[in-house]
Amino acid sequence: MSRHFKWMPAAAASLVAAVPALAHHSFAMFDMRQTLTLQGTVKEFQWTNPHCFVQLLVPTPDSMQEWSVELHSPGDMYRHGWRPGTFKPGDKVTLMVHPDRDGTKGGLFVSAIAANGQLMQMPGGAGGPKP
Amino acid sequence: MRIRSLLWFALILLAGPIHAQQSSPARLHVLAALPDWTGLWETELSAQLDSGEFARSLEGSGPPPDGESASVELAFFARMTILGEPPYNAEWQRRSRADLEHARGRPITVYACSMGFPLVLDSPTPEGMFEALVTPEETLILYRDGEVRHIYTDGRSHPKPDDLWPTEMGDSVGHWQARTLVIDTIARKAGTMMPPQMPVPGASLSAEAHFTERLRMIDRDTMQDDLTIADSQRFAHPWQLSFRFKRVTNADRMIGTNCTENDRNPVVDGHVTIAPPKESAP
Repeated sequence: MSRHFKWMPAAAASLVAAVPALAHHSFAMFDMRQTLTLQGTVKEFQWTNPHCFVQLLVPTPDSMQEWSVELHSPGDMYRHGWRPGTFKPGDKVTLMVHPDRDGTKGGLFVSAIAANGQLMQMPGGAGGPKP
Repeated sequence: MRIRSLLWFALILLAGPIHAQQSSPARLHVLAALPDWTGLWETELSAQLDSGEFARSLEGSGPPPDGESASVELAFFARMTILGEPPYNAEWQRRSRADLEHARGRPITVYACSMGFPLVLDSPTPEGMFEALVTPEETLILYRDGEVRHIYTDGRSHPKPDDLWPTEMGDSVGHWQARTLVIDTIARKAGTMMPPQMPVPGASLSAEAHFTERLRMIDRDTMQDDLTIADSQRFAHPWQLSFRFKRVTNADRMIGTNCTENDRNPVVDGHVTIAPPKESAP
């Protein structure tokens, strides 16, 4: 397995951190047993309703993959300090995600290590909702 | 000279309505006696979710063994009192339980983006965040998803039957008993409270359901709404519920939400997925 994709057992905290996503849809689409670590470059941060998305370019040995990582709505993220400019194109980041169960290059945001080394978590998580 | 006369005439015409809109001392006196409900509010469930309290309550339980999160979602919905079984009459108890059996095991997909009344009183998510604007004539409850409750307190009655039809929010009139707003709502659309694709349908109401609420502040940061639902077509007796709303302290303004701006979660073969991003506009 590439060093860019790391699978880890999911913690209960990250499982329930996803609950607010159900404002729009169920999160049964994500595999909560798995946490995938993606190291890459931000292509775009979509600060949009009903969900924000990070488009992340992840290099692999033979290609560049684009991942769509889903977050909460702007209103939910804003309450915890997130802003439209929290991620900028070109930022080098590490994202922890629960991957889609259907194999698409997508997942639910769990946490991130930003370019400046700051740990960022999803609002509502047991670990404290601070980006 | 003629032009100057016309300008004065126009000014007088404009000044009349402006003067009429100014608050009279009597109206200001009434307004001063009403409670101040300014600020942002959300349901207790939503506050628990946002603060991480709900997540902490599940710590140690671990992820479901099959990786499905539906059980967590159902555990969350189970905390909604409004999704409990109402005091149905015998016929509707039978029909409701049959519907529930049919819904059990159904894959959860996409939820409705607006909840309607009365589900919005028990919203499990911040979608039910609201602002309340109190005036002598009307109290407006403005929800994050754009829904609005208009509660007229100017002494009017509900529209006559020919002028009324069922809607998601129903028709509300109210009056003040001291600092409690007593709300009377009718003409709420018939059907279950939750969207049909949900495994927890919620109470099924007829269009004849009659709602009475007593909404008030119980302390600086808490509001309480005591709701009674009478539905002679479906209930054996009125159903009494109570909801609390907490002041939102970590947002300085209402930030709206909607499901159409950038919906990237289509349902494919019965399951929600993530669609690729749309091409950016030039």
